[in-house]
Amino acid sequence: MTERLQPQSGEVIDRSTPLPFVWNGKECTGYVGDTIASAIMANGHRIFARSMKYHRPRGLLTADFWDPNAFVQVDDDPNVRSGHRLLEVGVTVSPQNVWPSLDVDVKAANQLVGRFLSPGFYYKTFIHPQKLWPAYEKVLSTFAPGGEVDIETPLAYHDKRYTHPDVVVAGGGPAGMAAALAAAEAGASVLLVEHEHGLGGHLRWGSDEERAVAADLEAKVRAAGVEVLTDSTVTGRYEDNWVGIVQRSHPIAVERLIKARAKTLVVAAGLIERPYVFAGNDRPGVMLSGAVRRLINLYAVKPGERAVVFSANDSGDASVADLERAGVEIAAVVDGRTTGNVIATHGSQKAIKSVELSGGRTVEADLLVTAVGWTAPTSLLNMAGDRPVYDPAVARFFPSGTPDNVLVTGGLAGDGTLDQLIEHGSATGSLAAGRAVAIAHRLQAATVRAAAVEGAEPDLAADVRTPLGRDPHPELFRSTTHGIVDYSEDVGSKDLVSAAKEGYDSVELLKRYTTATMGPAQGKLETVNTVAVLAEARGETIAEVGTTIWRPPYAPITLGALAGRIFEPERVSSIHPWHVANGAKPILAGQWIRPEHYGDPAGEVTNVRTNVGIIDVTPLGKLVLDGPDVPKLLNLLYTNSWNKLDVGSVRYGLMCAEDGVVMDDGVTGRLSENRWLMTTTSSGAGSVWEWAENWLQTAHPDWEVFVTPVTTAYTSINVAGPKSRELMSRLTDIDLDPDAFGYMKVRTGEIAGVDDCIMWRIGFTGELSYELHVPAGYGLHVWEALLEAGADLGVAPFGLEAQRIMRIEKGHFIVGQDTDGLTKAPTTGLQPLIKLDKDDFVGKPELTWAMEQDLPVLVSVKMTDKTIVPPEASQIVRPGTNEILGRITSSRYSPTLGESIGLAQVPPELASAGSELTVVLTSGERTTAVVQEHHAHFDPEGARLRV
Amino acid sequence: MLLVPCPHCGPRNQSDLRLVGATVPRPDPNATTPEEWGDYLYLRDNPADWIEETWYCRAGCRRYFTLTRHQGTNEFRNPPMPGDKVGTATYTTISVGSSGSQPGANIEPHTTGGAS
Ligand SMILES: [Zn+2]
Repeated sequence: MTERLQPQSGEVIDRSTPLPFVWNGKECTGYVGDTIASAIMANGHRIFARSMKYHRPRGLLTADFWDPNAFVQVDDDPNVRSGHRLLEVGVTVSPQNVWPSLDVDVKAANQLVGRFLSPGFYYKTFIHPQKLWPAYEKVLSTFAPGGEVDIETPLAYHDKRYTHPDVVVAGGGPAGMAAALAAAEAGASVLLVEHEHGLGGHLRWGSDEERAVAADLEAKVRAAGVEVLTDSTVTGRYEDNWVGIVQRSHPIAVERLIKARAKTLVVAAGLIERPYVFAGNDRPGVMLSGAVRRLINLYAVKPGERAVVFSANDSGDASVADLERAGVEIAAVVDGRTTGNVIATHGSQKAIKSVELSGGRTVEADLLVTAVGWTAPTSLLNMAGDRPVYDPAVARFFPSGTPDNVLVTGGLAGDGTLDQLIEHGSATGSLAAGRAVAIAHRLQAATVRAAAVEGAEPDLAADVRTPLGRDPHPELFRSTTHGIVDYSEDVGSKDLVSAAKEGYDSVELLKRYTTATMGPAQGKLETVNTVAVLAEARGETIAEVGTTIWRPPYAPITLGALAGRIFEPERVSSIHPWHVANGAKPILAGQWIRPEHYGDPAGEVTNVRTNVGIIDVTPLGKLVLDGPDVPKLLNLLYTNSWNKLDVGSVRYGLMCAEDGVVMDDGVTGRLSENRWLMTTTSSGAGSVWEWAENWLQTAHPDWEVFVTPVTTAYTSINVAGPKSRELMSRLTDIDLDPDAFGYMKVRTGEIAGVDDCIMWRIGFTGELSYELHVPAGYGLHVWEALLEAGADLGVAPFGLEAQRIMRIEKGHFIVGQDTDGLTKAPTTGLQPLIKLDKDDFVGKPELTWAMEQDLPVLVSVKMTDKTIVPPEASQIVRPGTNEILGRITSSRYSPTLGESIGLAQVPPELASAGSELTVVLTSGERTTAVVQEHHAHFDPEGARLRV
Repeated sequence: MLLVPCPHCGPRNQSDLRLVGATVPRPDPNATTPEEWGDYLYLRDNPADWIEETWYCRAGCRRYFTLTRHQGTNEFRNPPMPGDKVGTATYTTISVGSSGSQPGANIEPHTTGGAS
């Protein structure tokens, strides 16, 4: 049953389009244009929720985004701000924080024992004994406010956008619109962001005349080419006017996070009406003047039958007129500008029956409207470094000074007639556009080799605006009684006074101790009252107490919007389609999707050891180095020597950072006199490139070296196994005779009909093997040619897992797996590759000292129990104790040896062959491992790869 | 998110670049002491004042360059010019003999824009 007023001239509902929905289990009907809250009110319901701590029934207070009493669950969407969210057809809306129901709430008994919920109650009560915490947590979580998250909810699309307007205007009221219009007319690109569903600010629920002014401004704004975002909020202002905006009105994305880089930011956020503190101020039926004006003028909803209005300003006076027009009986108007005051409301928990006024008078009413002043939402100014100053004559904070690229207008800047506000906004917009030109010039001029700028920098436009005035306003924060200060956190003025007496008398401490201002409204409604109550308790002024600093975000952003569209690419090699078609199990390695195995990793190992296998190693980092000074670069980056590497040879290199910690390793081959191919670890492909450029550009700009990343320009395939030479001989004319093309040599030529291939003989697997780097466009062709040509040899693909097993069998370490952020080069056992006689190399001093130090040693180990494979990172401890001595860095069951093998980092005293190590398994059980003489478990002489 | 004046690419979001850190000279690797080397690796003055620091334009021109930034206000000044000192040595374009190379030039304030 819908109860609406006669059509109102400024209503935003479309009465021709009814929307059925369910509230609290009851069938209801609203209209297109309704907020969920206005539709619920229109169906005759007054109770929206129960309060967080005391579970007191609550009704609408502000009827907008910030309403602390109007959080609801909409279908599977919890914590919806029903004062803001528009009604949609068929939704099921449920109250939150009520158990077992909105009407009967068991936890409301809390209010009877309210003294146990005094400030700091949770800290004091649940701190000891610690072992009871799990039990406490269960009890507390049933009391926690909030809706229910449905984990079955399907993922929804969220988006991100980047934009670079000259001017961003935060707030689309009269001043904001005027600013946007003036800036656009001055030639600036302008983005106007409005928090509510339509432009106009407070004019939206104003008189016909006021709405006409707003409509005229809006038409001009749109005609001027200003981009307008409604139902969107500027959530933060960061360095150099990096402005975050959450757009809730995107047609596809649930929410979109916009990152705007503005030359100038105009803050026209308006003012937020402040509640009044008195006994019973949270009883349903107590509303702010803005709430009743919205309900009547925008939604044609009658907020009550008989009203008392406590007014200290124009908004309160206007609400009296609105109420009268809506047919609400005015029981009393109390003037806050004189001596009138509201002492308390009386009635049931769910409704007001009477209002107690100063002078001992009590008036029957079901609605109490308060209009006691404004909070200046200075958040964006705070974020720009401003520290607003309190003006007692006007009872609100004003900006004290912002950077050149942040300008303030509208109610944040002062008071005035509508014409004066528009004039100030307009002047602000012109100023913003003028400054944007100077700032753009300055930014471009700072970048000397980018596009040049013409002429001298224009002067930064001076601020010659006529300042807005300040209308006197009485300081009305708390009556002679105590009431709720923070509705969403259920914190009362009495709680604040007692917390101050306990010593929490600085505003930042008080806030954290009592949680006042820390609820969903984030201080928009309650900060100034909190400060005022504290000032009263301390016997000081509000200016002396100061205020808390507003921090981003101004309005909440969903985690989905923050995560947004993620720009992390997934990379695949040119052979990827074949892997997919042939049953490879994919594994994500960094950004790369790679085959872990093709069904039987142990069988793949055996096939490499007996026949021949091929593996796609495309992610291997590859850099082409050109120039006569490449040996100098290699000598600098690697610890070993590169002076005498002939054309046609390759060499393994170990790379350390300046602190001596192992950073990367890989093979580099000399293709011709001045051309080299360097390979890096897959994960190091990008960082080694930056590293090489760093040294070339900053330390040795005189060296003649070009570095060209070619990781994805080549598809890389390792052909490994005793039959690999036979296989390759069928696909290339390159002379493969071991005397002509020996171990650690490189050749270039044609493979499977493809020109410009690079092939070198190395052996990560420990078998005779050729690593091919073929132009990426032909990668799949060469792969398939290898399989076809070697069918009779038993050629088969192998994946990362088989390669891991074989490299452990050979005792080869992997940087980042067997080394960590503290592993210096000598730990790896590669001391012969640390050439301290070189004049210089990265990390030389550190490694000079490290060679003398007792560093951990990387060793190969076998488990005493051949069937146990300890998980990688299992701790090695001193027997009989929990003292950690080292860890297993790699471990696998070796199908070749039939044993459990691994690598470990151990202290020097446990590094000699035969040392027994105590290894702790995940279960807590202990097992032993034995240190081996050689790193290689298999073919320690390396005979197999040198054939 | 700072707006960093890359000398080649124009003003760029900080996330397009990597801040290498305050520019400190590398000690002579053959004559240094553990104390001096430790200072070079780990210790920075971190004043609330102007410092010289090295940036790498990793998502743009891929050049390393030195900028002067006030650590209190994050203001940049002295846009670098070709030939400015970068990192531990001097920034010039390598191998290609590009215009404006002035090996050995130190940072001087440049009050006007444009490649003069
Ligand atoms: Zn750049």
